[in-house]
Amino acid sequence: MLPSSPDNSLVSLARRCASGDQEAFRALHDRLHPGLVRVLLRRTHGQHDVADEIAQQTWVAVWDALCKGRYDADRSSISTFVYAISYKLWLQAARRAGRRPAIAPGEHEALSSDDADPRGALPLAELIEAARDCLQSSDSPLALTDRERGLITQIAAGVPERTIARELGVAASTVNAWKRAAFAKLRRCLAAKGFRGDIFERGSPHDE
Amino acid sequence: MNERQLEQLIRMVADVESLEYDSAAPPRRLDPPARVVRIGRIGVGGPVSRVAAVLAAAACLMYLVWPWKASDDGLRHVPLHVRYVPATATSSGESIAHFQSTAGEPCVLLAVYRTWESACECLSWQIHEWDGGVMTASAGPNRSVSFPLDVSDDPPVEQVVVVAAARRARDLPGTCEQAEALLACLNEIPVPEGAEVDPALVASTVRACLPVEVTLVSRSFVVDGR
Repeated sequence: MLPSSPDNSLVSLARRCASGDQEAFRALHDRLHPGLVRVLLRRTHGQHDVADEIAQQTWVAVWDALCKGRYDADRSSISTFVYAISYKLWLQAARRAGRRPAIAPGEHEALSSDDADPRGALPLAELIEAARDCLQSSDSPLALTDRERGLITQIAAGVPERTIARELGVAASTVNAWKRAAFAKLRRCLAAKGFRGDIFERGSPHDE
Repeated sequence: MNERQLEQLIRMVADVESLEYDSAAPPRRLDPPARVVRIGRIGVGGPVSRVAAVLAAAACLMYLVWPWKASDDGLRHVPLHVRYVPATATSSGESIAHFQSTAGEPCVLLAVYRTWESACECLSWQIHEWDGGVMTASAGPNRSVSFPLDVSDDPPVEQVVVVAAARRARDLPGTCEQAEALLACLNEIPVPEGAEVDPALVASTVRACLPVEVTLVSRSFVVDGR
């Protein structure tokens, strides 16, 4: 199969950016900025001015991180790194506004406990990469089945378990059991990659 | 890591995927554009048949009489969250592509794909016909839509499918003339260099031919020798 990763040319742009290539940075910005604004619009409930402001701050922070060697292509793709910085800056903006955006309970937890310093974006980016790998992997004993993947994606998107159960024609308790099994598998996969305990706490992949 | 944190992490993964697949690059000329305009089904080669034309006409009629509900105009610039779930193979060897809407609202979907056109021996854009021969499909809140991909490897060229999601039916082609205009637009714009390895680059071509309110998700398919 031909490579289908969307990151191939982004990788090369990121490498050139890291060596101070401003043209590459502009190209990287042109590639990712529209998608970044769309993601931020979702997080800010369509507030264009806030989303644009955070996006601008994100690119300033990305350039700063690249110039100061705080980005490591071996630990995260550039798109995930850019996203992680934007997430931290979104947290900062939400805290400055003194309110918690009404998204999902998990986001509320994040607002109260996460470190919002964009300089700490690389560990978050690594965690997201690990989760992504766990969710997409299909050839390991810890790989999620299509049903498990679809189920926890729907649950993460806020679909009630009862609704899923009704659509699938099974009992809500069955969906709950499937969900628990899927999350347990995801936890084990993340632990195998060194992420265990608190969401931003990482130990050695092999220490138990 | 508790369930809430895992859910938060899954949303972050979905955000990153959205950031990658929905980002567009400015198109650059690579090769002469194909100029084939037709409506077809993924993997079915050859010219448009009379049956296909009848189905397309039925699709247009169905589209026009479908009870679309207008959505809030204030939300129209907020992208819909549609993600690709890896295709699964059926016992017949066909692959099924899944596109999952994780937004809590209904949307309308149009799928276009770039595939090999034997008549001109070139790659051209086509519009996927959903079940019943319709051009667009409606997806309920947080629901998946699936369609078959005939993963022919003859010739072994990279093929790309782009799913366009819109809140309002009127943001997607609603008549046969509009469908042909979309295909003409797609086939006249050169696909950017590097598109073979980056479906997001192909999406930039589609982006230029649809309203800005439309969310795009692209994915390459086929291609290894089966």
